[in-house]
Formats: sequence, structure tokens, C-alpha cells
Amino acid sequence: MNNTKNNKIKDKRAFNLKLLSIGSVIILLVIILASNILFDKLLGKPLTFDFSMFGRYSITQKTQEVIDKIPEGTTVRIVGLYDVPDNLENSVLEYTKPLLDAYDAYGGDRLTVEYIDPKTYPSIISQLDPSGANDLKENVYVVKYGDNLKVINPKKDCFNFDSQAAMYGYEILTANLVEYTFTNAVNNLLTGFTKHAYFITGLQEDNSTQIKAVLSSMGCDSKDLPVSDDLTIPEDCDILFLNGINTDIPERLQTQLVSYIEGGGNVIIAVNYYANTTEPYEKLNTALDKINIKIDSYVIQENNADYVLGSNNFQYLVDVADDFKDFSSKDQLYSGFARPVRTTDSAVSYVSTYPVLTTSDKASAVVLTDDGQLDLVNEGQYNVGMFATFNEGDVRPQVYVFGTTDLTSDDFISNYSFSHQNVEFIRSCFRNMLNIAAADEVDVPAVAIEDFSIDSERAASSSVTVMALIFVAVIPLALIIVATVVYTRRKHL
Amino acid sequence: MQAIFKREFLSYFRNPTGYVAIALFSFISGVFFIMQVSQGQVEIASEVTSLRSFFIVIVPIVTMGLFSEDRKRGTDVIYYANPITMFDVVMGKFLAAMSLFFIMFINVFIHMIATKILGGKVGVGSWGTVIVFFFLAALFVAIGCLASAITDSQIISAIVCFVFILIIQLISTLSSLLNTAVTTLLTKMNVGSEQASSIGSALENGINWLDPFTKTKDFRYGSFSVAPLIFCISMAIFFLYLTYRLLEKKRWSQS
Repeated sequence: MNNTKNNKIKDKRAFNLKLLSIGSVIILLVIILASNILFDKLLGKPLTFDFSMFGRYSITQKTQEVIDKIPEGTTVRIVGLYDVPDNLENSVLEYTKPLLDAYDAYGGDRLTVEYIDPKTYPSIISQLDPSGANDLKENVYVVKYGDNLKVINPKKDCFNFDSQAAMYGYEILTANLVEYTFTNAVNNLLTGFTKHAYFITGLQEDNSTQIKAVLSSMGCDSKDLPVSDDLTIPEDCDILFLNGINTDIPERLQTQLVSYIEGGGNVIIAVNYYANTTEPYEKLNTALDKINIKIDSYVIQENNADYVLGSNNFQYLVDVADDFKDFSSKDQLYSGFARPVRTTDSAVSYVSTYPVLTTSDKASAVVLTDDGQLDLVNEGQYNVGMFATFNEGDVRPQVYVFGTTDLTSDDFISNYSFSHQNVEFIRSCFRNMLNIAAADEVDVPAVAIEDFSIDSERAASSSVTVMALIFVAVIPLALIIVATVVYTRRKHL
Repeated sequence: MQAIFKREFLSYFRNPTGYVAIALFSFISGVFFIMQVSQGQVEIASEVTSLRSFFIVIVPIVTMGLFSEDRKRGTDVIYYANPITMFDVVMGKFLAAMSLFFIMFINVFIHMIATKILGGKVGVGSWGTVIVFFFLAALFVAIGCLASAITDSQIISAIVCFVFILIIQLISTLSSLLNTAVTTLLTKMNVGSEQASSIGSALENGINWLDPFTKTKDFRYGSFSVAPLIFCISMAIFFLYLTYRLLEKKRWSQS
């Protein structure tokens, strides 16, 4: 009787203990999960700190100002047409997604960031672009405001790449433009594109993708204008660009150019010597003659060691002329394989010309002779860039002529990115031509890419071999030997 | 707790386990480091992130004997017979295993110094991955403690721990497969394709929320968040509590 009673008490005690064990474990699990979910929702974002190099996951004050400009009751949608991979490492989204999360967190109802895979949700394409005009495909971002949208390629539009490495098939990032691109896209959709730049094409010109991106960031839309027999410069053209042209302009363009300038148009011309050493640009010079400017058929060699960049006398610093000092934060810009730009001998009285970029007074012009030899012409100061305008009448055209393409070429901007003083300078030129107040412009800086390179001299192959030996062989083997000794000595204990 | 910690920590070096674990870690981290040096770019964050994949091998080695060895030899009776709490036992052993991880990690600190000597950079992201490494190690060592407490066989304990960590490492893959399966099933049941995808995605996201690797991935880029660290620590506490309850149960059953 007593045994049965004791067993019952024991069973009850065991049951209670089991209940306590299981109950406490379940309660703890529920508390842990609930508190984690709550913490994640309420404090997850506020307690996230961006210590990254260059703060690449934080939006700048400029972006916050643009988001603040979005009118109440309206929403800018940023839609990534993506199936977001679990591991962002080594994908273009590695930089983009975390930063856009910061846009989303700041934007609230006014700016949202979503990821919708069009393979899973095909209707998203027609929802974003009902007319189908933009031919939306997966793996791009769409920024939509009202009926307008802008498509952003997360690779091409959001990064600068080293152009030389690209020639060998390598992709080396030189700058992160994610914030630059998205903030400008949002700003442009809010304000609308009001200015238009036209790029003359069909003259073996260099690509102008990067400079178009710079213009786009200033609210200026870019279009190509192919040369043809019936070429007409459109009425809405705010800037006409002849960027890196490698052959002379045709007669039709010559006459159009003259009448465009005489009508008060804005023109930027950039050529160099490197791409076409024999081209004298006769027709272009005939047109420029109307504004007292001529591009020479020489290449400038800088002989002042303080100006020369590296070991190449054809790549050097040029001084920004006094009248244009406020165009750049630095007094000198980069220039390479530049042709001299000078005033013509038969000056037109109503035209004023100004030097913009000048070499040192020890530079010389070099002519490549027929037998391939270099022939020094004159030592002295040369202009690498000039500006011309009319000094009387109501019409005031603005014409910049550069003998270098280092301010506008894709190669240069890709390698040095948008924060370089050359780009800063050309932005100021645009600003002057387009009458944009600096305060109205969204100047989001390009972010540098972290460089984890090691010093190749210190990491010579001999020292790498020694290190490999120590880290991969000596240390592990020594530990294994110690383990064997310990095992042998203690196995009988 | 101090006595348990000391006994357990020294036991790693009284048998080959500690040396083998450190040797293995040295070798793997050394290979990752030298590979980067030979490519002319050293990112310590990348090395530490890669090392996290080897938790699946190293954690079972380190934790398999924590409790199972005592049970096998019968020395666990000492804990029950002495005036110490099971909490002290669990924490002492847990901290001993974590200390061994710290010693292993000295390799990476040496690599950091070597990187600086070679003119490279040890960025904020590298320190982020170091922090995450120890929080994840705490979580997995806690799982290892539980695995060791449920059996008196070191091999079974190691296998259980291995499977646990494998499941955690494959959470995102498994959730993705589950998403596909659920979406396909619902579509076949005549649920609208976009609705089926939404349900599948919600399920996937829900399961992915439990993935500590995904939660902590931004640390390597210098974006530090408190929530994932709290998640790792709270889950570690949960597994340690489970271990504690198991030992408590045994204590009562012994008495």
C-alpha cells in the first residue's frame, strides 16, 4: 500500500519535473523568438551603424533633401526587377541593395524600394510601363514617378570601370555611383528634363556615355544627332556636342554650326591629337573662324617637370585661366595628347575669346613629320582650351573648344570618376551654359572603391613562398607533431 | 564555474583534440590567406567569411567530448555529487570551448598583422567579420554542447552537431526549394500563380529569418547591426538552456 503511494508520488514528481522542463523550454523559445522579432522590427534599423569605408551604405544629406522634395501624397517607386540572390557577394547588388535599403528606410511613404521578379510576377512590367515604350526586362531597376520612369542598369549606370583593364576583359571598379545615379534619377523625375543636349555622331567619335550621365545628373537629356545631308540642329538644342570626333565635319554641319552659333547656341568641341594625328579639321576650323578660334594640327609637349604627369611629356597638368578659376576646386586639370587651340589671325571684332586652359611657358608644339620623326615647333605657352562669345548684340553664344578629350571622354571619366577636377570643371561649363544655379543641382559625390591591394615589392614571390611555408605547412605540422606526442605519452594513462 | 572552465580548457591540451583543431584551422586559414596574397589583394573579411564555412567541421571536433566523454567515463557523477550548479557546468564547458576558438583565431590576427606589413588594408569590414565570427561560434558551440549532452558517444555527438550546423548552413537553399515546391503545389491546386508565388515567398522569407549567416552578412561591408548579434546570443542561450535542462534531468534521475 505504502509502496504504491510512494510510486504515485514519484510519478507525479517526475511528471511535474518533465512538465517544468518542457514548459520552460517552450516558454524560453517563445520569449526568444518574440523578442527577436520585436527587436528586429522596432530597433533593427535604428541600431544599424554604417562604419563602412566611405559610408557607402548611408545616404548623404543631398539625397535626403531630394527625398524631402517629393510632394506629400505622391510616391517615387524604385522597383528592382530582380530575383534577389541570397548571397549578394560578387554581384552588382552587393553595393546597390544595402544603399537602396537606406533610401527605403528614409523615404517612408514618399519613396519605396521593392524587388519584384518579372518571371514570377509578369504583370509588373505592364504595371510599370503600360505603353511598353521602355521595353523593360529583368535585372534592371525602374524608378517611377507618376507616369514617368527611368530605367537604371545596376552595372553600367552605377559604376565606373577601369577602361584599360576592360580592354583585357577584366572588370575593375574605379568608382561607386549608386547614390549618384539613383538620387539624380529621382530628382530628374521630380523636376522633369527641361534641357536637351545633342551629340553629333557619325564622325568616328568616341563614346559619350559618361558625359551624358553627367548631363543627366544636371537634368539635361542627351540625344544623338547623326550627320547627314539634311542635318538640322533642333530648335530645342541647349548644348551641341562634338565630343572626340576623329574626322572633319561635313559641309552641311559646318553651315549649320555657324548659323547655330550666330543664333546664340551653346557648343562644346573636344578633339585630341592621339586618335587622329593627320586630321587638320579644315571645315571645323572654317566654322570656328567665325568665332576667332583655330585648332592646330600639332600635339603639345610639356617640358616643365612640375607639370608632367608620370614619365610621359604628352600627359601633363594644365593651368585653369584666371577667368575660369571658380569652375574647379583645383587650379590645374589633367590633359593628354592635346592639340593647341588659338585665336585666328583674322579676328572678328564682335567676338571675344578667352583662354580657358593653358600649359606652362616651357611647352612646345610637336609635329609628326612624314618620316615619323618628332619636330619641335616653338617653345612657349599654349592654350589647350578656349572660350568664345559675342561682345555685342542680344545674342550671346557660348563656345568651348578643347584640344584635349580628357574632360569629356569615357576613358578618362571611367578611370578617374565623377569627382575628379576635370569633371568638376566641365560641370561648371554646363552650369554656365544651361543657366543652372549651383544650389539647384544635385551634386552627389561618386564613392571610391575600397582597395585591398598589397605592396607588390613587399609581397615579392620569395616572401610569399616563405609565408606560405610558415602559415600552411610549418604551423599546422608543428601542432600535429605536438598532438602526436601528447597522444603517445598519455594513451596509457 | 572557474574550476570547470580550467579543467575543460586544459583538457583540450592534454589530449590531441585541441592541437588538431588548431592545426586544422591554421591550415585552412593559411590557405585562404596565401591565396589572396598571391593574387595581390588581401581582404581579411573575405578570409574570415570563408572560414565560417568550416564551422561544420571544427565545432564538432571541439565540442564532441564536452559532456559525452564525462558520461562515458562516468565522471559526470562528480558534477552531481558536488555542490555546484548545472549552470556552472554548462557555462564552464561552453566558455572553455569558446576560449579554444579564440586561440585558433590568433592565426587570423597574425594574418592581419602580415597584411599590414605587406602594405595592405585591414578595413572595418574585417573587424565586422571577426565580431560575427565569435557570435556565430557561440551559437554553434552551444549547439555542440547540446549535441554532446544527449549521448555518451563522441561520434554520435559529432554527427548530431554536424547535421545541426549543416541544416543551418543550408537554410537559405532549403527555404528556396520549399518556396518552389509550395508554389508549384498551389499552382496545381488552381491557386493564381502570383498568389501562389506570394505564399511561397512569404514561407521562404519566414524560414530565411532564422538564418544567422544571412542576418550577419552586412558586417563584412562595415554595416554593423545589433539585432543579428542579439539573435545569435539569444539562440545560443536557448541551446545552452536545453543542455542545462538535459543535465538537470539526468541529475534528478541519478538521485
